[in-house]
Amino acid sequence: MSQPDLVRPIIAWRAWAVHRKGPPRLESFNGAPWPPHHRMEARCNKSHEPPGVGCRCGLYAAKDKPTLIELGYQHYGDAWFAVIGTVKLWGGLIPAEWGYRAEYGYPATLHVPYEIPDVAIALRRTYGVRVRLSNNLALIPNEEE
Amino acid sequence: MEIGKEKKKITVEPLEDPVPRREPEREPEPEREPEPRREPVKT
Repeated sequence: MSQPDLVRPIIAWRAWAVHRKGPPRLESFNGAPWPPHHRMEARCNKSHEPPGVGCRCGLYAAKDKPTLIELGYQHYGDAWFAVIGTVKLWGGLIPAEWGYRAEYGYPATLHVPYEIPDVAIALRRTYGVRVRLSNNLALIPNEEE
Repeated sequence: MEIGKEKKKITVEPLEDPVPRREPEREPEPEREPEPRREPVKT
């Protein structure tokens, strides 16, 4: 049995889509739902465990908040809004220049716009994670779990 | 998401489960019958 390289999850930054209608749930931007109180598992239709080397599969996250903002994932859509926050990543993991691809993930802290406190409360109850109301991304500290 | 040049794949095995446990649903306390009103003791 091989030794793990790390024994604590990597903390990274990502954004989730939350639909404006229905009970608030986190989704990847490809529509994959993040299950409450269960790890999110990456899937790949090729014959390897995600994240595969040379493949594009895996859970994606940016290494820090400025990188996430630079990538533009915090913008809102018509039918959904974006919630940004930190995510714990573990399992197989490929570090990269600006972020990671991982096998498993679970949100750590979510930042929800001020205008929708009811969504913030629902997400906190549903996922059991810290949720903060914040509209100014610049004021959100980069170093948080 | 574009994450740039990739490095060697590693394995991360947390010692503790990173997924928070679901808090047990709190059962509402049963309603108590109001205690019978006591007459003041005459001294």
